[in-house]
Amino acid sequence: MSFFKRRKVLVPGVLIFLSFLILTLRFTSDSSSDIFLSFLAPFQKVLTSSWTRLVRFKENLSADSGKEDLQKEVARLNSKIVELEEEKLENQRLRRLLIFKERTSFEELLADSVGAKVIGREPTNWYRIVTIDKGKKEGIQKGMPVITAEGIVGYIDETGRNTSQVRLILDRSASVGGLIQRSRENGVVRGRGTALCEMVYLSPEADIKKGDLVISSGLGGRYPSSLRIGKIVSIKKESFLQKAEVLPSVDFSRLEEVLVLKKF
Amino acid sequence: MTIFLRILLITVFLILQTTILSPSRLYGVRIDLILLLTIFFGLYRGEIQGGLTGFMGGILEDSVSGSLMGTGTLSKTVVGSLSGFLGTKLYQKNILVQLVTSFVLILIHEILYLSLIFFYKMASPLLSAAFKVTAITVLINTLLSPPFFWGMKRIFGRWQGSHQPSEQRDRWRRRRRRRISFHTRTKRTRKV
Repeated sequence: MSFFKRRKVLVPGVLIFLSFLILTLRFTSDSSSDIFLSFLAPFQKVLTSSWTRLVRFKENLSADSGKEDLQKEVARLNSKIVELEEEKLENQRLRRLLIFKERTSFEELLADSVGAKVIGREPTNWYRIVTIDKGKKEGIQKGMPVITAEGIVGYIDETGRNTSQVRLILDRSASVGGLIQRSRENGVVRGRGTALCEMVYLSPEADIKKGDLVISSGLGGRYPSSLRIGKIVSIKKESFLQKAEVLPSVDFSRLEEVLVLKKF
Repeated sequence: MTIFLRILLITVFLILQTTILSPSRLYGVRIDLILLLTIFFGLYRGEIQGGLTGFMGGILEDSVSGSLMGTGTLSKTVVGSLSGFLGTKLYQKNILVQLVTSFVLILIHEILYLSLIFFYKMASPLLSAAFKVTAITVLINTLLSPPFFWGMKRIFGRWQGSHQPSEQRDRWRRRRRRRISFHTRTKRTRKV
C-alpha cells in the first residue's frame, strides 16, 4: 500500500479515535468553549437583534387592525391591577395577623437580579438551551434561576466571562417543583424536549383540571416559590399516579430578554 | 488557504444555526449546514478532508450546543470519512445520486448522534418524537443538499480534489491532448 493510500485510512481513523477519546473521557474544555462563545457573542448579538427588529417591523404592519381591541384589553387589565393591589394589601394585613413569615415579594426578587438579552439558541433539536449576553463579569453563577415577567425560563448551566448558557425548563434534564394553584397539589414539572412539559408524581386522587395554573412550589431550592410555570392542557391517569401535560407560560420561541435572579 | 476558509464557513454556519436558523425559530426543523459542509468535503475532496471538516465542525458545535463534548464530533467525523469513501465510488454530478448519497449519510449521522446521546444519557427523547424529528431533519437536509453543494462548488471550485476533476480542468486537459496530437501529426507530415 502506498503512503497516500495508507494516509486515506490512517487520518480518518485517528480522527475517529480522537473523537471517541474526547467522548469517553468526558473531556470538558470550559476555557476554550468560553473563548469560542465570547468570540461568537458579538456576531450573534448583531444578527439576533436585527432579526428581531425585522420580525417586529413585520408584526407592526399587521398590528394596526387590532389596535382598538388592544386598547380595550389594556383598560380591562388596568382595572384588574387595581383589584389585585387591593387584594394584595388585604393579604398582607391578614398575614401579619397570622404572624406568617412574609414571602419575598416579586419586587424584592427583581432588586437583586441581572437583566440579559438572548443572543443565541441551541443548534440541535435535543437540548433546550439559550445563550445570554451576561456572564461571570456581572456576578452570574451556575445554578441561578432565570425568569421573565411571564414565568420561569430555566437555570444557568454554564458561565463564561461575558456570556452564559441557560438550560430551559423544556430540556429533558430540567425539573421544577410545581404546585397547582387552585387545589395546592404538589408535583414535579419536568421537560420533555418538546414544546410541552409534564407534571409528574401527582397522586391518583389529586384534584386537577384542564386550564389549572401551575406555579413553582419552592421545593428543591433551585427556584423561588409562586412563579408561574404554565397551564395544564391534558391529564393522563395511570394505575398509581397521574400525569399532566403543562403548556409553559413563557413563549420560548419569542424569548428575547430574561432576568437572572442572583438571590432569592 | 482552504482550511481558513473552511473554519470561517463553519463559524458563520454556527452563528446562523444558533440565531436565525435555530430549530426553535423554525418550528423544530434543524438545518444542519455544518453536516452538509462535512458531506460536501467528503464527497468532493476525499476521506481526509471530510473527516477533518467533520472533526472541526463537530467540536465547535459541541462547545456551544450544551451537549457532552464528542457526541457531535464523533458522528460528524464518521460521516465525513464515510462520505469521502463514497465520493470516490460514485458519480457526483448526477443530482439523483447526490440526493440518495446525502439521504443515506444524513440518516447515518442522525442515528449515530441519537444513539450516542441515548447511550451517554445526555438526553432521552421520546421514541415517537425522536422518529418524527429525525425524519423531518433528514428530509429537509437531503432536499437542501444539491443547492448547497452547488454553492460550495462555486466557492471551493478552484481547489477541487484530484479524484473528481472539475469540468474546467477536464476541458483544459482535452484541449491540451488535442493540441499535442495536432503538433505531432504536423511534424510527421513535414518530415514526409
